[in-house]
Amino acid sequence: MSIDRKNEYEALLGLLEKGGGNAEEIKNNIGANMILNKNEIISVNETEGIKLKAIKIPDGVKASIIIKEGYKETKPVHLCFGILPKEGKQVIISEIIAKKNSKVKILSHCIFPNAVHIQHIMEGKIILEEGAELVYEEEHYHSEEGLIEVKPVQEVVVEKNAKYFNHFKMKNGRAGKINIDYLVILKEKAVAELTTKIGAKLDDEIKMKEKIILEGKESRGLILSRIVLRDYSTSEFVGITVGKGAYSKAHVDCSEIVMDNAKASAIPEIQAFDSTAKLTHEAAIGRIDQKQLHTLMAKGLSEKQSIEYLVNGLLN
Amino acid sequence: MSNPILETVNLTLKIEDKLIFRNINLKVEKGTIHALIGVNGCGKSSIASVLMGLKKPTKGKIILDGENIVDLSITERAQKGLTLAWQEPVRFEGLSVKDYLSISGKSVNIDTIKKALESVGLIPEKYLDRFVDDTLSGGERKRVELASILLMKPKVAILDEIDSGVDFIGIDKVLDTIRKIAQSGSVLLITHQDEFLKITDKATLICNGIILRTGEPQGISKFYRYECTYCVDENPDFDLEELLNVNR
Repeated sequence: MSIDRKNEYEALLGLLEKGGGNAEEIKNNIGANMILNKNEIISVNETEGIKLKAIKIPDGVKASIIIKEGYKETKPVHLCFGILPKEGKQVIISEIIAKKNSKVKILSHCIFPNAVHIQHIMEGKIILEEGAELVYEEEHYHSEEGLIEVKPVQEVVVEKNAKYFNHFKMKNGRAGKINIDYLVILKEKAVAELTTKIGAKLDDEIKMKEKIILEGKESRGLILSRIVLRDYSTSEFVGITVGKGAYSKAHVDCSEIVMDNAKASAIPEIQAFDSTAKLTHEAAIGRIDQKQLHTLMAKGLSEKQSIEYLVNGLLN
Repeated sequence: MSNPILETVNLTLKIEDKLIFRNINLKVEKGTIHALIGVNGCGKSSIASVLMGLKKPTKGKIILDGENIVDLSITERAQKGLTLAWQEPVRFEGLSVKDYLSISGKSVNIDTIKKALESVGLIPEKYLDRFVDDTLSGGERKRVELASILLMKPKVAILDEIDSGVDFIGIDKVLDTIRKIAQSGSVLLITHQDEFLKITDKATLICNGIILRTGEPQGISKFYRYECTYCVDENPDFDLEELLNVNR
């Protein structure tokens, strides 16, 4: 590794550690990992059951992750995507294939500590073969002041008896402009859970469109979002479930706390094409629950402390 | 000799044209468990809300340990040693039992949290990492709340129907915990259950927002069961003022 690469490697891992992430596993090459700064491939570490490939493209990287059939990994695969300069664009085009009966957790750390004007686009195609299980956690570490545009796009196919769990989380800094677009197709007895937790402030803009198509019989889906908006930030949430398979079941659960002059909209949409499909939804937008607030204040916390406590609970 | 830690003077609450309760003169003595009883809708929980500062009284004083706290915020009242366990314990998404109990006091640590959970009959290893949300039953959340109050060591704990939703196995633990809270402070216990009245030192009966009588718990309980219920359930037009005059 050149001196520049080494410096970038250490800087990214240092920032990850500072933000509360586990950099030790990457440093010690425990499990598979891939580290990218803008469109530079800093390091790639494969393991016996997990094959990683990365190719540099003009504004980013094309990456593929293949988990071997039947391979079950207890240590997470770390993907560290960052841009260290203040400005820049990073496009990650990825393909993840979890082969039959494999099981793995991917932790994707997206680190933009100095962002003033940064675009981060993730276009992912994910295939879970029969009986596979994949947890995909995307954690974002942003700067406090700058403007960042994040666009995670995923198309996921979950084959028979496979399970897919996606968690999107803002760990530090300002959300900026986030535009999530997920589409998940579930085959027979497949399961998918999409969880998104975002805190927004100032003029942050959150847009989310998450759709689960339950094609297979007895498939199960959940879309869960928790958003806290402060100042004059905005959010638009659309959660769509389409029940096509017999006895398929899905639920959309969106809860948004709106403070100050923030604005929120939530549209849960359910479409049933089979009489035995069961699709439900709940959406709540409002201020902080007063009873929760009063309960914490009755323990001696100030109103401000109580709000922080409730917001942290909801988002973490 | 009367030594009240909490006292109300002519405490009255009127919401729009409706009188919720009036001229409540209540005295909770130091180191005692004082029951507040009465049928549903008679004003008990409203009194609790006003004491804690959730609602502002139309008139009257609330004196905690010699200081009128009627103009203080909920937080200030809590910092002065008053707290309240709600009738319906709140759900907290994303907050573990351990996190929730850790805010109960400055000297709280993992050992004191475990002890508090054991006191209310919850096995620490099983509950510490569970969330205080709807994955816990109403009875379990009540016991977590009681553990929190035990850790707070308040001067006065107002416990609003802490017994409801708790199973028969848990009741004994709840009773013991209330006694423990009263060892370092006092308890104003809103209840309907005779079992709970047995641990109280004094009881006050409320009817239609008025104190009907205060005295020895068993006597008040008998009156409540055989006379007071009659006036509300059987005869809604019963003249409460007349009853009050007869009993004075």
